[in-house]
Amino acid sequence: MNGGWALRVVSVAVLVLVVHLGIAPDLRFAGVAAELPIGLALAAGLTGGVERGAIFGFVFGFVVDLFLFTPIGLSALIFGVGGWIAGHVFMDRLEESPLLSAVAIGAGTAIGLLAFVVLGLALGEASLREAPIGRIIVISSFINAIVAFALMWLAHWMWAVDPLGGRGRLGAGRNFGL
Amino acid sequence: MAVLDPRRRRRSTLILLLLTSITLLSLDYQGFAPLSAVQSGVRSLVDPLAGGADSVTSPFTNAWKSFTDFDDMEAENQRMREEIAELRAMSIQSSAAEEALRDLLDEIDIDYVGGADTVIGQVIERPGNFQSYSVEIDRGSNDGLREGMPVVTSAGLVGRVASVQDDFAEVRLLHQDGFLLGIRVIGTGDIALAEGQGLGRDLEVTVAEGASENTDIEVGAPVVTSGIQGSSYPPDLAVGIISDVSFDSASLELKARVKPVADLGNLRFVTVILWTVDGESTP
Repeated sequence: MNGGWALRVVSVAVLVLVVHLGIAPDLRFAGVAAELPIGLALAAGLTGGVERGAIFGFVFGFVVDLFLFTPIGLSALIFGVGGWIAGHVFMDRLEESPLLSAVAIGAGTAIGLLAFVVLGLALGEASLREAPIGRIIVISSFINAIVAFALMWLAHWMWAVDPLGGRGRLGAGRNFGL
Repeated sequence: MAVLDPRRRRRSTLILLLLTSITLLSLDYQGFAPLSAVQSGVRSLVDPLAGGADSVTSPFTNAWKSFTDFDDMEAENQRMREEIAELRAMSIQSSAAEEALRDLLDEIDIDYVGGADTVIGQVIERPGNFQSYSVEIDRGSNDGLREGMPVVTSAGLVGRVASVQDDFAEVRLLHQDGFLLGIRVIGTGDIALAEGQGLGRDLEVTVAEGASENTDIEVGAPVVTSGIQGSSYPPDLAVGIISDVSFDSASLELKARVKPVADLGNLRFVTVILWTVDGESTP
């Protein structure tokens, strides 16, 4: 494994995790904190393709699970599937633009959080019943859409020096002849 | 690293991730010990970073809070100034009352915990969007914490230690749905069981035995932990105040609501009382 590439992936993951755990709970909008980790998993798929998105999403989700009081494996499942679907968007050569990235990450966040709640409730997580789910989904999706540019930039930077030789922040897909 | 080729879209990858996730969920529900060990190890690495980030960014986050909650904070400041004046007067009275209480509890063979050892912990993980019932603190079994120990702030009871790792612990907050707590109403001496009703809701108290419409329990009456034999909490920890009282003539039950005095939504530091019901309080 290319050491520089791995270091970038770990650095980005830790950065977003630290912001999510240490800072986001204090920066609430209408009582709702940002849900950046799922946004990063989607950005990783949008910029890195199906398998990188899925595997990064799964591993990152598993790490996030270790910090939550919800079942271990739930975020891994949601993030992994989210990264996989986002990777398909990348593979289908969606024209990359800030606006489309924002829409994709915002909509993906909404769908992912809804799936998280539905599966969590099915697994008997009582605390989810009390959460203002609609408000959380709407505001978190909006926040992630706003910060989509930053998440995409991080994800591009993260994959830019991967072992396959992808180069350039926004041109990874084109470099592979896609 | 062919597995990370962005051109590939194998369904087997997705199926493998799904199966692994289901396995993890299954292991977690069965309390698989190595998973807890991994959890503890990863948290030990990242929690200090998150705590450090919190310290570094607190001026910015405080500015954000003052911007978004300015009106509330102004009213809160005024209220707190008035409360400080009241508390100064009360502290003088309570010193005398505490002495009398200790003598009284000695007489009826109930442990007094006013002098019990305590550990102050910093809240390193506050409730997220979907986690309204627990906080994580930076103290664990290495600091003498055990499951079940009561956790308070200067205002009153906030919950109890639900799980403990070496260097951190999860504190379950008392507004959790189904959280049970033996309480005593100051003034009337009524003892009952209070139950959490969920985020932002008052605890519910039901008095069935000996209840009547002409109850002495009044709105505004302070409520403390009962500390009766077998209770999970020591006596006389402040819990809240009665916010509503009603009598159900059909079931002949008196129902009351208790508003917790501790601000459960904004915890920064908490105090763990090194006390357990079985007396196993220190390492």
